[in-house]
Amino acid sequence: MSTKDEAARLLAQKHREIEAGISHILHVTGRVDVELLPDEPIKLLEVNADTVPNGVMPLYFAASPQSGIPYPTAIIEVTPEEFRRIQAKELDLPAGWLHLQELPPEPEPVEK
Amino acid sequence: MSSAKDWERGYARQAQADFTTFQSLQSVRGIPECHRLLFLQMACEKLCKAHLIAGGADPEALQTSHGYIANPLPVVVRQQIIFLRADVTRMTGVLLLTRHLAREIELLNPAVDRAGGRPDNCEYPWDQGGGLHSPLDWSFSPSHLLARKAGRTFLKLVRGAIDRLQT
Repeated sequence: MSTKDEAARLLAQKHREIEAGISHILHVTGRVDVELLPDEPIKLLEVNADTVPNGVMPLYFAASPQSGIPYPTAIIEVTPEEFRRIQAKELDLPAGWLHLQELPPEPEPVEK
Repeated sequence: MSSAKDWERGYARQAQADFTTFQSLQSVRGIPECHRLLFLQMACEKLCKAHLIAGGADPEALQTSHGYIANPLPVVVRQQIIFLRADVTRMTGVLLLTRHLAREIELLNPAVDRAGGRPDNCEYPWDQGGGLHSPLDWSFSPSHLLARKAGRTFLKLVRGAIDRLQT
């Protein structure tokens, strides 16, 4: 079974593959002891130029091990302007969304 | 006091009933387009709200508010595509159409009119351009979008996402 970090990277990669409007995907974590709980979801903050502003509202999805996603997931999708306001501390993330780590696009495989 | 899980299940059940009604009406002659789409709009709104409640949103606040389709629905549909383990790169067209459809479906609710710019809706007559318009006579863009191949795939994905909430 993949770790939560690996599952987060896989999800981010799939999201980028299907949507050209995504400019940033951040893996958000909380307190270490909370992140160790099996029910604590993978938390992704996604910046998408193709979405509409709706504030900071997480969407929760249950785990789906048979689909290769063994952890629940919570996703917040924001516009670039909303992301700017989050960075400027004008918009708050939900409680427990503490540490943000950018998940960059996976490098293209080099053809030999 | 009902738990968030109770509310999520409640919304999911209503979404399923709304969507089943939408589908049933497709084969009934004489049903106005606006009434068919009304059930699709309600199903999509409840599907999105079920995921928002599971994510921590206040159920009471969501009950009386609208405009929760254009942003959340494409994310819900995208997750459904990934859950199905489909070749996601072949589904970019479906997701593009989903974003367009989600905005249009949200506008079917009379409470959402883009600051008066889009008064067309599925329920009430509206005054625009010096004349009164009725939903009964209006041709709604979601109907045209749903007729496309990607539109039919969108409906299957919405159905699947609703069913997934029941498991």
